[in-house]
Amino acid sequence: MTEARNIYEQESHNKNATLGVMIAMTVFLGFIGFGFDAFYLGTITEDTFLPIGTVLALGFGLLSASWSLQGGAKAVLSSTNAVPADPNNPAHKQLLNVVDEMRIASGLPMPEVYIVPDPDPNAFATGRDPEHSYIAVTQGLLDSLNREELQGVVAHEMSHIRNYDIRLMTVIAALMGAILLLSDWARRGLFWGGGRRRSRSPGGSVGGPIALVLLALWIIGVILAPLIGQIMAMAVSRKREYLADASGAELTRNPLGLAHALEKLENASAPTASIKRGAAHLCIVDPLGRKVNTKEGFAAELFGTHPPMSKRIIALEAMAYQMKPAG
Amino acid sequence: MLSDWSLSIRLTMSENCAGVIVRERVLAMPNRSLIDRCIIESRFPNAYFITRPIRKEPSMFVFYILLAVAILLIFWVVAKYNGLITLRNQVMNGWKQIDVQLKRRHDLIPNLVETVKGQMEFEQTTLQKVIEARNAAISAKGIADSAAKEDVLSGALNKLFALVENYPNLKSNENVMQLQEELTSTENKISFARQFYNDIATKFNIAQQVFPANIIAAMFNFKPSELFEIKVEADREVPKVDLSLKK
Repeated sequence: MTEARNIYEQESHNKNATLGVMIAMTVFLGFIGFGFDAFYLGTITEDTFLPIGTVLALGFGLLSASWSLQGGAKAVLSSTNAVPADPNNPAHKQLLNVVDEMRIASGLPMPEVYIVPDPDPNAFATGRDPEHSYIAVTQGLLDSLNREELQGVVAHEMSHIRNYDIRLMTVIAALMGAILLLSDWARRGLFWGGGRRRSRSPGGSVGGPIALVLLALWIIGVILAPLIGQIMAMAVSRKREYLADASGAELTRNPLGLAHALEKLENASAPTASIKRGAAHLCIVDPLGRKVNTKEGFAAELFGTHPPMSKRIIALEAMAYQMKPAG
Repeated sequence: MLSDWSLSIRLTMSENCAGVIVRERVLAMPNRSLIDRCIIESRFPNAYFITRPIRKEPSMFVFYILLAVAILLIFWVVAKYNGLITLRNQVMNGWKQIDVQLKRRHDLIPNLVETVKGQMEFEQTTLQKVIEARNAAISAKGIADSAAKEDVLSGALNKLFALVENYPNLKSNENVMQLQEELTSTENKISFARQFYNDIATKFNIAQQVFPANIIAAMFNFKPSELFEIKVEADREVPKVDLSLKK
């Protein structure tokens, strides 16, 4: 089912997919928001266009998301008890060398490197832009991977920074927040029998049956909004993981290094206790060990933050022109 | 004045002629409003009116559209030019960064190797002294001699313990492993610097060769960059690995 794509093809495929989902999310936000303004607040009619509710919800969403972006990196690091890497420790020095090599290959500034004292192998990157970026790996990762595999993982994390994934996920969170706020307000309004459309002046209604159909669709949208929003956000998260795999392979020119690392990580799938839920989506493998991220299937296609490991490995092997024939 | 003319005036929508056709002669009659024409027609039932060719004034709407297109075009040209300038500078930077890594290798590696050799020699010398002292102590004859030689042995052993205390990671193979790591990393850094240069040079070349940006590139004399490549054919050969210990 997965066709064999090289590095550049994978990168452009995933970037286009991200754009598609972002557009869909914006349209959905517009649908819920403008519907809210039209049906409930009555500020959108044939004559007026004041999307007050939409703008308010979007404002709240952006505020909370950017606030978490500002302080987020340090908070995430301290919540995992991460310590800065020590150049005098040979294992840490090797990690610092590997990160430095990726810095040269990517042209980015050097991120701050931290070690999480957890025996389970995992890694994550955080930070609002390349000038303020942090990479953390667990002690378990340093212990279990060789240099080549470590470089694959570091390249994957640097690619998250390079592709501004942290910032993108913050925007997604803002949109999600706005959608959830609007659907929450709307549900309360519907519950209490609101709806200014009834109190509008008579004779102003345009296309009665069309308006009713739109209203019905809008109500369904409101009820399903959390689900739909979650599905879209997770779709973006998964595409960015694939993109980070491909970008990392472009940096190292060694896709199999990361593929072997992922195989090792897959087998050591014990939950990483130090990394809490809030940072889970930033990691290279799901630290909570959730089944939805490890198995393939319908739920994984919709709700997983990470793509199934087997698919990631197949994609990497395709980049290395070593994809095994199907069947 | 019209009353002096016996004209045949007829309403016509022709825009191509500017004269009034009369039985005998042509008179220019400016286009009249509808009411005027009705009045004239009622007085001169066989009148011809012929409209002057209307020079159509282009509408303001079209003008604004053209202006917007022109402004967008200027912005696009500026953006493309600036983009090419940025890429050219990044390419130059990428090229020089290779030299940065080469210089680092040139300065670092000989010093590292000397340090490790020095540590190995120091270790070896200290160990050698312990062995000599032990041999001497074993072959001591008599109590006084034995005591003196045991003292020397203790002294040598103390030096060894001090060495271990001050340098807890001091094992020759660990030093060598760290040296290996630094050698590997240095070579990797040089390779990645070359790779980055090739990547950014490719990006620059693509940017100036795609259509329509190649027009801008030609206008302002941008040239494609050369990619890094091997100049010495020997560098392409497979290196020989000979671990045999024959000298």
